[in-house]
Amino acid sequence: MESLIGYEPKESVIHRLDGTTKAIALVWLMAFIYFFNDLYILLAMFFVTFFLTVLGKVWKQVYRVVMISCLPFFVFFVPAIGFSPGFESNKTALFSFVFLNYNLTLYFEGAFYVTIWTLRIATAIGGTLLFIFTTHPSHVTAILMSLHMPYKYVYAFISAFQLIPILSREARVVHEAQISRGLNLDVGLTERIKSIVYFIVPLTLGALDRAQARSIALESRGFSAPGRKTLLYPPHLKVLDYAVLVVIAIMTFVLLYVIVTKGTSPLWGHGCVETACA
Amino acid sequence: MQTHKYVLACTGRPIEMSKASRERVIMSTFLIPVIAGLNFVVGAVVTILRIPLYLDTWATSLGVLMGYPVAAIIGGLFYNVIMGLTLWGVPSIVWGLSQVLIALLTFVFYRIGWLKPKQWPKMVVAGLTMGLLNQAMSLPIYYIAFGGLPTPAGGGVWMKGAIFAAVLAATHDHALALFVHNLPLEFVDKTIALFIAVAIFIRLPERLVLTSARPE
Repeated sequence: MESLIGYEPKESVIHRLDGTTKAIALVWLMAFIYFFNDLYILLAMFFVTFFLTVLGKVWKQVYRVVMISCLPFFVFFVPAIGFSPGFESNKTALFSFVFLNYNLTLYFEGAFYVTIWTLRIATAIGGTLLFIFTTHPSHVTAILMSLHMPYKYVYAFISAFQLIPILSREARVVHEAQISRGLNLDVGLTERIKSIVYFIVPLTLGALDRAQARSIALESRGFSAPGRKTLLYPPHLKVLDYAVLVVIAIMTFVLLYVIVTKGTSPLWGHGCVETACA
Repeated sequence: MQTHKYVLACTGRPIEMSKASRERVIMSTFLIPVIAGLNFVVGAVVTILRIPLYLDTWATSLGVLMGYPVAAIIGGLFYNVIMGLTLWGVPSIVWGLSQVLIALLTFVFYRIGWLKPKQWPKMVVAGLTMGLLNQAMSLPIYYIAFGGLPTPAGGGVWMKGAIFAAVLAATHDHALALFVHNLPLEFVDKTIALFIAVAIFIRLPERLVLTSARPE
């Protein structure tokens, strides 16, 4: 049960950018991938995100997670939506075949709709993971603190990110320990559900003990002490950050102009389904 | 009761509170990441055990039972934010509403005394109610955040896909197909999650629990 998320310390252009710049770029990406319903624009955004992960030297880690998340999404939705005559937009048949005496037809509209959403989610996950893999947690803390988020919750959020890999490792240890004690997992579903308890009890007690120990340790270091908290890495924009922010500003004007003048599907107009296009 | 001047971590304001209250505030802060982490890890454990369930709300229920409802809600929300930012895609953050609902329902059922192992039929009814209400709340989320697409998350993907496609083909009612496709899984998932939360809660050491009345 390897943890899939976490900061990857590397030397790259993306790593050198300030966390604030990356956060602004991420919010920008999220906004526009949900604005546009155009296959070409979404493909462009997907490939730009991929290129940035290559620049950040984290593309393998990022796209491993993207595949894990998006492949089942695509495989699940194509039969559920693309083949279903009940999906109201399905009108244009691409091809038909007979399966178990049922005549199945793949519709263009359903397949298109699923493709748009898969691309959108793959780009969203890719962009977010690029941010997480290339931004040190203390920079994320600085961003959240600059948003005037109470530091109690900033701490809780950041430590949740740090705790997940620790608990995942612990779960692996518990798994191996229970197997070595004779726990058989090659049994029926009911028995497997019952065996959850053998994992949860040690995991929960260990995690709660750790929380209590951590609370004592941090309190003894003045976690609740009065006074303004200082940051390990306060936000500091450099020339590269300003250059990226200028590009983002220009792209925002261009894309808003495109939306106002040509709508949210400027390139893929023909055959665009009403449910996927504005 | 002796009170001292403390600074409330969330606001930075100095306030008067007892030592017990202060410990409660501190513990709730440190419980938030634990709840988020336990929801995540048990979600991963069920994948390893090839169990077609989510089981990612049980720690939220446990937090409520331990007497930290606010920490439970925030922990549940953080879990969904983390999953939305990493594995599920940003729109999935809205599933955090489900964590809020489960926390509130756990609180209500606990208060009316339904969450006692000796009265397990009431616990089953509570679990089924949670599943039903959660699925009802999910319906607008499917439309707003996922363009009316069903969920591939959790186990039993092919079963859910088959139910969705069958109901859609038979009735041509998209909303009904969306509502029904995940309902069997929700019933089982929320009931088992509730049983696990109560089973763990009654075994917790006293020092970790604020609630005075434990289930018998």
